[in-house]
Amino acid sequence: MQTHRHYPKAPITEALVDLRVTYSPDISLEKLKMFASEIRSSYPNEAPRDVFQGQIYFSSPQPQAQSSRTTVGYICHTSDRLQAVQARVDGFTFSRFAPYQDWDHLIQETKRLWSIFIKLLQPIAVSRVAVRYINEINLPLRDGTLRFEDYLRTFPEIKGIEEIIDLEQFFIRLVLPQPDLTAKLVLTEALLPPQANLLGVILDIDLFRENVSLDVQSGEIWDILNTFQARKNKYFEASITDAARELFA
Amino acid sequence: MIYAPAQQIELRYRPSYREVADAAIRRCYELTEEQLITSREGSDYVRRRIALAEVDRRLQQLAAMNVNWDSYGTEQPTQTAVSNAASIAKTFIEAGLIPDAITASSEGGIAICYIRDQRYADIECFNSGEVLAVRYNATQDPQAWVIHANTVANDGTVQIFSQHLSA
Repeated sequence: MQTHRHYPKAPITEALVDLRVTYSPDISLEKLKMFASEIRSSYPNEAPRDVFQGQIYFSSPQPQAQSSRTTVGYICHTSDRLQAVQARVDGFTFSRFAPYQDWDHLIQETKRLWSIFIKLLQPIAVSRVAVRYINEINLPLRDGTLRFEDYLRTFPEIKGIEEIIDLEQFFIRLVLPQPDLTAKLVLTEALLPPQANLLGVILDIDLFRENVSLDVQSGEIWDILNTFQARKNKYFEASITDAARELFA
Repeated sequence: MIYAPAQQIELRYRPSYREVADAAIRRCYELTEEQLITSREGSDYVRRRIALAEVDRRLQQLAAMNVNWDSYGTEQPTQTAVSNAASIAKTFIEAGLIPDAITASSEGGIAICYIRDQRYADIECFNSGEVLAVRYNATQDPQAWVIHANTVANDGTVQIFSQHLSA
Protein backbone atom coordinates (compact mmCIF):
# COMPACT_ATOMS: atom_id res chain seq x y z
CA MET A 1 0.00 0.00 0.00
CA GLN A 2 1.38 3.39 -0.95
CA THR A 3 1.13 6.05 1.73
CA HIS A 4 2.20 9.12 -0.22
CA ARG A 5 0.86 9.87 -3.68
CA HIS A 6 0.08 13.06 -5.47
CA TYR A 7 -3.07 12.98 -7.55
CA PRO A 8 -3.54 15.53 -10.38
CA LYS A 9 -7.30 15.47 -9.74
CA ALA A 10 -7.23 14.97 -5.98
CA PRO A 11 -10.78 14.73 -4.60
CA ILE A 12 -9.94 16.91 -1.58
CA THR A 13 -12.62 19.57 -1.11
CA GLU A 14 -11.24 20.89 2.15
CA ALA A 15 -7.94 20.29 3.93
CA LEU A 16 -7.63 21.95 7.27
CA VAL A 17 -5.35 22.38 10.24
CA ASP A 18 -7.15 23.08 13.49
CA LEU A 19 -5.41 24.29 16.65
CA ARG A 20 -7.58 24.76 19.72
CA VAL A 21 -6.15 27.09 22.31
CA THR A 22 -6.66 28.45 25.79
CA TYR A 23 -6.61 32.22 26.19
CA SER A 24 -6.34 34.56 29.10
CA PRO A 25 -9.81 35.48 30.43
CA ASP A 26 -9.88 38.85 28.68
CA ILE A 27 -10.18 37.40 25.17
CA SER A 28 -13.06 39.03 23.27
CA LEU A 29 -14.59 39.23 19.82
CA GLU A 30 -13.03 42.68 19.47
CA LYS A 31 -9.58 41.14 19.91
CA LEU A 32 -10.36 38.38 17.43
CA LYS A 33 -11.40 41.06 14.98
CA MET A 34 -7.90 42.55 15.28
CA PHE A 35 -6.59 39.36 13.71
CA ALA A 36 -9.08 39.67 10.84
CA SER A 37 -7.97 43.28 10.30
CA GLU A 38 -4.30 42.36 10.34
CA ILE A 39 -4.64 39.79 7.54
CA ARG A 40 -7.13 41.78 5.47
CA SER A 41 -4.70 42.40 2.61
CA SER A 42 -4.51 38.67 1.82
CA TYR A 43 -7.85 37.52 3.33
CA PRO A 44 -10.23 40.40 2.56
CA ASN A 45 -13.56 38.59 2.82
CA GLU A 46 -14.49 38.61 6.49
CA ALA A 47 -17.66 37.12 7.96
CA PRO A 48 -18.79 36.35 11.50
CA ARG A 49 -18.36 32.73 12.51
CA ASP A 50 -21.56 31.67 14.23
CA VAL A 51 -22.81 28.62 16.05
CA PHE A 52 -26.42 27.64 16.43
CA GLN A 53 -27.84 26.20 19.61
CA GLY A 54 -31.25 24.66 19.95
CA GLN A 55 -32.98 23.54 23.11
CA ILE A 56 -36.28 21.89 23.81
CA TYR A 57 -37.80 22.26 27.26
CA PHE A 58 -40.06 19.44 28.38
CA SER A 59 -40.83 20.85 31.81
CA SER A 60 -44.14 22.46 30.84
CA PRO A 61 -47.17 20.58 29.45
CA GLN A 62 -46.40 22.02 26.00
CA PRO A 63 -42.71 21.48 25.04
CA GLN A 64 -41.01 24.77 24.23
CA ALA A 65 -38.29 25.10 21.62
CA GLN A 66 -35.69 27.82 21.70
CA SER A 67 -32.80 28.48 19.38
CA SER A 68 -30.02 31.01 19.42
CA ARG A 69 -27.14 32.09 17.28
CA THR A 70 -23.87 33.16 18.81
CA THR A 71 -20.85 34.68 17.13
CA VAL A 72 -17.75 32.80 18.25
CA GLY A 73 -15.19 34.45 15.99
CA TYR A 74 -14.45 35.42 12.42
CA ILE A 75 -13.75 33.57 9.20
CA CYS A 76 -11.74 35.34 6.51
CA HIS A 77 -11.49 34.10 2.92
CA THR A 78 -9.03 35.02 0.22
CA SER A 79 -10.53 36.95 -2.67
CA ASP A 80 -10.60 33.77 -4.79
CA ARG A 81 -12.21 31.91 -1.83
CA LEU A 82 -9.74 29.05 -2.10
CA GLN A 83 -8.42 29.56 1.42
CA ALA A 84 -9.93 30.59 4.72
CA VAL A 85 -8.66 31.22 8.20
CA GLN A 86 -10.74 31.33 11.35
CA ALA A 87 -10.00 33.03 14.66
CA ARG A 88 -12.46 31.83 17.26
CA VAL A 89 -12.91 31.95 21.01
CA ASP A 90 -11.71 28.34 21.06
CA GLY A 91 -8.87 28.52 18.55
CA PHE A 92 -7.54 28.80 15.05
CA THR A 93 -8.28 26.95 11.79
CA PHE A 94 -6.72 27.23 8.37
CA SER A 95 -8.58 25.65 5.43
CA ARG A 96 -7.62 25.09 1.84
CA PHE A 97 -10.46 24.26 -0.58
CA ALA A 98 -10.37 22.58 -3.99
CA PRO A 99 -8.17 22.56 -5.95
CA TYR A 100 -5.80 21.31 -3.27
CA GLN A 101 -2.14 22.15 -3.73
CA ASP A 102 0.05 20.13 -1.39
CA TRP A 103 0.96 19.62 2.23
CA ASP A 104 3.92 22.01 2.09
CA HIS A 105 1.69 24.83 0.95
CA LEU A 106 -0.93 23.99 3.58
CA ILE A 107 1.56 23.91 6.44
CA GLN A 108 3.57 26.97 5.33
CA GLU A 109 0.47 29.13 5.11
CA THR A 110 -0.75 27.74 8.43
CA LYS A 111 2.57 28.70 10.02
CA ARG A 112 2.47 32.20 8.56
CA LEU A 113 -1.05 32.87 9.81
CA TRP A 114 -0.43 31.15 13.15
CA SER A 115 2.54 33.45 13.85
CA ILE A 116 0.26 36.49 13.35
CA PHE A 117 -2.46 34.88 15.45
CA ILE A 118 -0.23 34.20 18.45
CA LYS A 119 1.47 37.59 18.22
CA LEU A 120 -1.84 39.47 18.30
CA LEU A 121 -3.98 37.29 20.52
CA GLN A 122 -1.33 35.76 22.77
CA PRO A 123 -3.01 32.43 23.50
CA ILE A 124 -1.62 30.63 26.54
CA ALA A 125 -1.36 27.10 25.18
CA VAL A 126 -2.50 24.74 22.44
CA SER A 127 -4.99 22.22 23.82
CA ARG A 128 -5.86 20.25 20.67
CA VAL A 129 -4.06 19.61 17.38
CA ALA A 130 -5.90 18.28 14.31
CA VAL A 131 -5.50 17.60 10.63
CA ARG A 132 -8.64 16.93 8.63
CA TYR A 133 -9.11 16.11 4.95
CA ILE A 134 -12.58 16.00 3.43
CA ASN A 135 -12.75 14.28 0.05
CA GLU A 136 -15.69 14.28 -2.33
CA ILE A 137 -15.31 11.23 -4.53
CA ASN A 138 -17.66 11.23 -7.50
CA LEU A 139 -18.30 7.66 -8.56
CA PRO A 140 -19.64 6.93 -12.06
CA LEU A 141 -23.05 5.26 -12.24
CA ARG A 142 -23.70 2.70 -14.96
CA ASP A 143 -27.38 2.28 -15.78
CA GLY A 144 -28.04 4.12 -12.55
CA THR A 145 -26.19 1.65 -10.38
CA LEU A 146 -22.73 1.00 -9.00
CA ARG A 147 -20.86 -1.44 -6.80
CA PHE A 148 -19.24 0.38 -3.89
CA GLU A 149 -16.58 -2.29 -3.57
CA ASP A 150 -15.24 -1.36 -7.01
CA TYR A 151 -14.06 1.96 -5.58
CA LEU A 152 -14.13 1.83 -1.81
CA ARG A 153 -12.68 -0.58 0.69
CA THR A 154 -14.81 0.73 3.54
CA PHE A 155 -18.47 0.65 2.60
CA PRO A 156 -21.88 -0.51 3.82
CA GLU A 157 -22.68 -4.09 3.05
CA ILE A 158 -25.54 -6.45 3.79
CA LYS A 159 -24.04 -9.83 3.20
CA GLY A 160 -26.42 -12.44 1.84
CA ILE A 161 -28.45 -10.14 -0.41
CA GLU A 162 -27.30 -10.49 -3.98
CA GLU A 163 -29.91 -8.48 -5.84
CA ILE A 164 -29.70 -4.72 -6.43
CA ILE A 165 -30.57 -2.78 -3.30
CA ASP A 166 -32.09 0.69 -3.34
CA LEU A 167 -30.08 2.91 -1.07
CA GLU A 168 -31.12 6.46 -0.26
CA GLN A 169 -28.53 7.36 2.39
CA PHE A 170 -25.65 5.94 4.28
CA PHE A 171 -23.45 7.35 6.96
CA ILE A 172 -20.51 5.47 8.39
CA ARG A 173 -18.43 6.83 11.24
CA LEU A 174 -15.46 4.93 12.60
CA VAL A 175 -13.57 6.24 15.63
CA LEU A 176 -10.14 4.63 15.53
CA PRO A 177 -7.73 5.25 18.42
CA GLN A 178 -4.11 5.66 17.29
CA PRO A 179 -2.25 4.83 20.51
CA ASP A 180 1.21 5.35 19.02
CA LEU A 181 0.25 8.94 18.16
CA THR A 182 -1.80 9.51 21.34
CA ALA A 183 -4.54 10.46 18.94
CA LYS A 184 -7.85 9.41 17.44
CA LEU A 185 -8.73 9.10 13.79
CA VAL A 186 -12.36 9.59 12.83
CA LEU A 187 -13.21 8.23 9.41
CA THR A 188 -16.59 9.29 8.10
CA GLU A 189 -18.24 8.24 4.86
CA ALA A 190 -21.54 9.60 3.66
CA LEU A 191 -23.57 9.69 0.50
CA LEU A 192 -24.35 12.88 -1.39
CA PRO A 193 -27.47 13.28 -3.53
CA PRO A 194 -26.91 11.69 -6.98
CA GLN A 195 -26.36 14.05 -9.91
CA ALA A 196 -26.63 12.94 -13.54
CA ASN A 197 -24.42 9.86 -13.86
CA LEU A 198 -22.37 10.47 -10.74
CA LEU A 199 -22.80 9.56 -7.12
CA GLY A 200 -20.80 11.61 -4.62
CA VAL A 201 -19.35 9.96 -1.55
CA ILE A 202 -17.78 12.02 1.21
CA LEU A 203 -14.65 10.46 2.69
CA ASP A 204 -13.72 12.56 5.70
CA ILE A 205 -10.57 11.74 7.69
CA ASP A 206 -10.10 13.70 10.90
CA LEU A 207 -7.02 12.98 13.01
CA PHE A 208 -6.57 14.78 16.31
CA ARG A 209 -4.78 14.78 19.64
CA GLU A 210 -6.64 16.48 22.46
CA ASN A 211 -6.14 17.29 26.12
CA VAL A 212 -2.63 18.55 25.52
CA SER A 213 -0.95 21.72 26.71
CA LEU A 214 1.68 22.74 24.18
CA ASP A 215 3.60 25.97 24.14
CA VAL A 216 2.20 28.09 21.30
CA GLN A 217 5.75 28.62 19.94
CA SER A 218 6.66 24.94 20.20
CA GLY A 219 8.03 23.14 17.17
CA GLU A 220 6.29 20.06 18.51
CA ILE A 221 3.02 21.35 17.03
CA TRP A 222 4.45 21.04 13.53
CA ASP A 223 6.09 17.69 14.25
CA ILE A 224 2.71 16.33 15.36
CA LEU A 225 0.99 17.71 12.27
CA ASN A 226 3.59 16.13 9.96
CA THR A 227 3.09 12.76 11.64
CA PHE A 228 -0.68 13.13 11.36
CA GLN A 229 -0.47 13.90 7.67
CA ALA A 230 1.42 10.67 7.00
CA ARG A 231 -1.14 8.66 9.01
CA LYS A 232 -4.01 10.37 7.22
CA ASN A 233 -2.48 9.39 3.87
CA LYS A 234 -2.20 5.80 5.01
CA TYR A 235 -5.89 5.61 5.89
CA PHE A 236 -6.95 7.39 2.72
CA GLU A 237 -5.03 4.97 0.54
CA ALA A 238 -6.37 2.06 2.55
CA SER A 239 -9.94 3.25 1.98
CA ILE A 240 -9.91 3.31 -1.83
CA THR A 241 -9.27 0.88 -4.68
CA ASP A 242 -7.17 1.27 -7.82
CA ALA A 243 -10.35 2.06 -9.78
CA ALA A 244 -10.89 5.07 -7.50
CA ARG A 245 -7.25 6.10 -7.93
CA GLU A 246 -7.79 6.13 -11.69
CA LEU A 247 -10.55 8.72 -11.16
CA PHE A 248 -8.00 11.07 -9.59
CA ALA A 249 -5.21 10.50 -12.15
CA MET B 1 -23.62 -3.88 -2.26
CA ILE B 2 -25.06 -2.49 -5.47
CA TYR B 3 -26.35 1.03 -5.35
CA ALA B 4 -29.50 2.14 -7.13
CA PRO B 5 -31.33 5.45 -6.66
CA ALA B 6 -34.03 5.12 -4.05
CA GLN B 7 -37.72 5.72 -4.56
CA GLN B 8 -39.13 8.62 -2.59
CA ILE B 9 -40.53 7.35 0.68
CA GLU B 10 -42.50 9.53 3.03
CA LEU B 11 -41.60 9.03 6.66
CA ARG B 12 -44.74 9.67 8.66
CA TYR B 13 -43.38 8.80 12.07
CA ARG B 14 -39.86 8.25 13.22
CA PRO B 15 -39.50 7.21 16.87
CA SER B 16 -36.78 9.11 18.65
CA TYR B 17 -34.10 7.31 20.59
CA ARG B 18 -35.24 9.48 23.50
CA GLU B 19 -38.49 7.51 23.47
CA VAL B 20 -37.17 4.01 23.03
CA ALA B 21 -33.74 3.81 24.63
CA ASP B 22 -32.59 3.30 28.18
CA ALA B 23 -30.27 5.80 29.87
CA ALA B 24 -27.01 4.16 28.76
CA ILE B 25 -28.07 3.93 25.11
CA ARG B 26 -29.41 7.46 25.25
CA ARG B 27 -26.08 8.72 26.56
CA CYS B 28 -24.27 6.89 23.79
CA TYR B 29 -26.49 8.47 21.13
CA GLU B 30 -26.22 11.91 22.74
CA LEU B 31 -22.43 11.66 22.79
CA THR B 32 -22.37 10.67 19.13
CA GLU B 33 -24.75 13.49 18.32
CA GLU B 34 -22.47 16.00 20.07
CA GLN B 35 -19.45 14.66 18.22
CA LEU B 36 -21.27 14.87 14.90
CA ILE B 37 -22.23 18.48 15.53
CA THR B 38 -18.63 19.30 16.48
CA SER B 39 -17.44 17.54 13.36
CA ARG B 40 -19.93 19.37 11.16
CA GLU B 41 -19.04 22.75 12.63
CA GLY B 42 -15.33 22.07 12.18
CA SER B 43 -15.47 22.12 8.39
CA ASP B 44 -16.42 25.16 6.36
CA TYR B 45 -17.13 22.89 3.38
CA VAL B 46 -19.49 20.63 5.35
CA ARG B 47 -21.31 23.59 6.91
CA ARG B 48 -21.86 25.13 3.49
CA ARG B 49 -22.93 21.84 1.97
CA ILE B 50 -25.51 21.24 4.71
CA ALA B 51 -26.74 24.83 4.45
CA LEU B 52 -27.22 24.46 0.69
CA ALA B 53 -29.20 21.25 1.22
CA GLU B 54 -31.36 23.01 3.82
CA VAL B 55 -31.99 25.93 1.48
CA ASP B 56 -32.98 23.54 -1.28
CA ARG B 57 -35.40 21.71 1.02
CA ARG B 58 -36.87 24.99 2.32
CA LEU B 59 -37.36 26.42 -1.18
CA GLN B 60 -39.14 23.26 -2.26
CA GLN B 61 -41.53 23.76 0.66
CA LEU B 62 -42.12 27.40 -0.28
CA ALA B 63 -42.64 26.53 -3.95
CA ALA B 64 -45.39 24.11 -2.93
CA MET B 65 -47.40 26.72 -1.00
CA ASN B 66 -50.88 27.67 -2.10
CA VAL B 67 -52.27 31.11 -2.81
CA ASN B 68 -53.75 32.77 0.27
CA TRP B 69 -51.23 30.90 2.44
CA ASP B 70 -51.38 33.67 5.04
CA SER B 71 -55.19 34.06 4.87
CA TYR B 72 -54.68 37.60 3.49
CA GLY B 73 -54.86 36.54 -0.12
CA THR B 74 -51.12 36.67 -0.74
CA GLU B 75 -49.79 34.87 -3.81
CA GLN B 76 -47.57 31.86 -3.38
CA PRO B 77 -43.89 32.33 -4.38
CA THR B 78 -43.45 32.07 -8.16
CA GLN B 79 -40.80 30.02 -9.88
CA THR B 80 -38.95 33.27 -10.65
CA ALA B 81 -38.79 34.15 -6.95
CA VAL B 82 -37.70 30.62 -6.03
CA SER B 83 -35.03 30.59 -8.70
CA ASN B 84 -33.66 34.01 -7.69
CA ALA B 85 -33.71 33.04 -4.01
CA ALA B 86 -31.83 29.80 -4.75
CA SER B 87 -29.15 31.60 -6.72
CA ILE B 88 -28.69 34.40 -4.17
CA ALA B 89 -28.73 32.10 -1.13
CA LYS B 90 -26.03 29.97 -2.78
CA THR B 91 -23.86 33.04 -3.37
CA PHE B 92 -24.25 34.17 0.24
CA ILE B 93 -23.58 30.70 1.66
CA GLU B 94 -20.45 30.36 -0.47
CA ALA B 95 -19.37 33.63 1.11
CA GLY B 96 -19.90 32.21 4.59
CA LEU B 97 -23.24 33.91 5.29
CA ILE B 98 -25.68 31.15 6.19
CA PRO B 99 -29.26 32.48 6.36
CA ASP B 100 -31.11 32.50 9.68
CA ALA B 101 -34.45 32.07 7.93
CA ILE B 102 -35.98 31.79 4.49
CA THR B 103 -39.63 32.69 4.48
CA ALA B 104 -42.48 33.53 2.17
CA SER B 105 -43.02 37.25 1.92
CA SER B 106 -46.38 38.87 2.58
CA GLU B 107 -45.65 41.08 -0.45
CA GLY B 108 -45.43 37.99 -2.67
CA GLY B 109 -42.09 36.28 -2.99
CA ILE B 110 -39.33 34.98 -0.73
CA ALA B 111 -37.19 36.67 1.91
CA ILE B 112 -33.71 35.47 2.92
CA CYS B 113 -33.13 36.80 6.43
CA TYR B 114 -30.09 37.45 8.63
CA ILE B 115 -30.29 38.52 12.25
CA ARG B 116 -27.35 39.28 14.61
CA ASP B 117 -28.17 40.82 17.96
CA GLN B 118 -29.83 44.13 17.02
CA ARG B 119 -28.74 44.00 13.37
CA TYR B 120 -31.01 42.78 10.60
CA ALA B 121 -30.55 42.28 6.88
CA ASP B 122 -32.56 40.51 4.24
CA ILE B 123 -32.88 39.90 0.53
CA GLU B 124 -36.41 40.06 -0.80
CA CYS B 125 -36.98 38.17 -4.03
CA PHE B 126 -40.33 39.36 -5.30
CA ASN B 127 -42.61 37.36 -7.57
CA SER B 128 -42.16 40.04 -10.23
CA GLY B 129 -38.46 39.19 -10.50
CA GLU B 130 -37.34 42.34 -8.71
CA VAL B 131 -34.83 41.76 -5.90
CA LEU B 132 -34.28 44.15 -2.99
CA ALA B 133 -31.54 44.12 -0.35
CA VAL B 134 -32.43 45.69 3.00
CA ARG B 135 -30.41 46.31 6.16
CA TYR B 136 -31.03 48.12 9.41
CA ASN B 137 -30.23 48.07 13.10
CA ALA B 138 -31.75 49.35 16.31
CA THR B 139 -30.46 52.90 15.78
CA GLN B 140 -30.57 53.36 12.01
CA ASP B 141 -33.37 53.63 9.49
CA PRO B 142 -33.57 50.81 6.96
CA GLN B 143 -31.45 51.14 3.84
CA ALA B 144 -32.65 49.34 0.72
CA TRP B 145 -31.20 48.91 -2.74
CA VAL B 146 -32.09 46.98 -5.87
CA ILE B 147 -29.84 44.07 -6.83
CA HIS B 148 -29.77 41.48 -9.61
CA ALA B 149 -29.67 37.78 -8.87
CA ASN B 150 -27.06 37.05 -11.52
CA THR B 151 -24.64 39.80 -10.46
CA VAL B 152 -24.99 39.68 -6.68
CA ALA B 153 -21.67 37.85 -6.31
CA ASN B 154 -19.79 40.87 -7.61
CA ASP B 155 -21.89 43.90 -6.75
CA GLY B 156 -20.64 44.40 -3.18
CA THR B 157 -23.87 43.30 -1.46
CA VAL B 158 -22.21 40.29 0.19
CA GLN B 159 -19.49 42.54 1.62
CA ILE B 160 -22.05 45.10 2.81
CA PHE B 161 -24.02 42.34 4.58
CA SER B 162 -20.84 40.84 6.10
CA GLN B 163 -19.70 44.17 7.46
CA HIS B 164 -23.16 45.09 8.71
CA LEU B 165 -23.69 41.78 10.51
CA SER B 166 -20.21 41.59 12.03
CA ALA B 167 -20.02 45.27 13.06
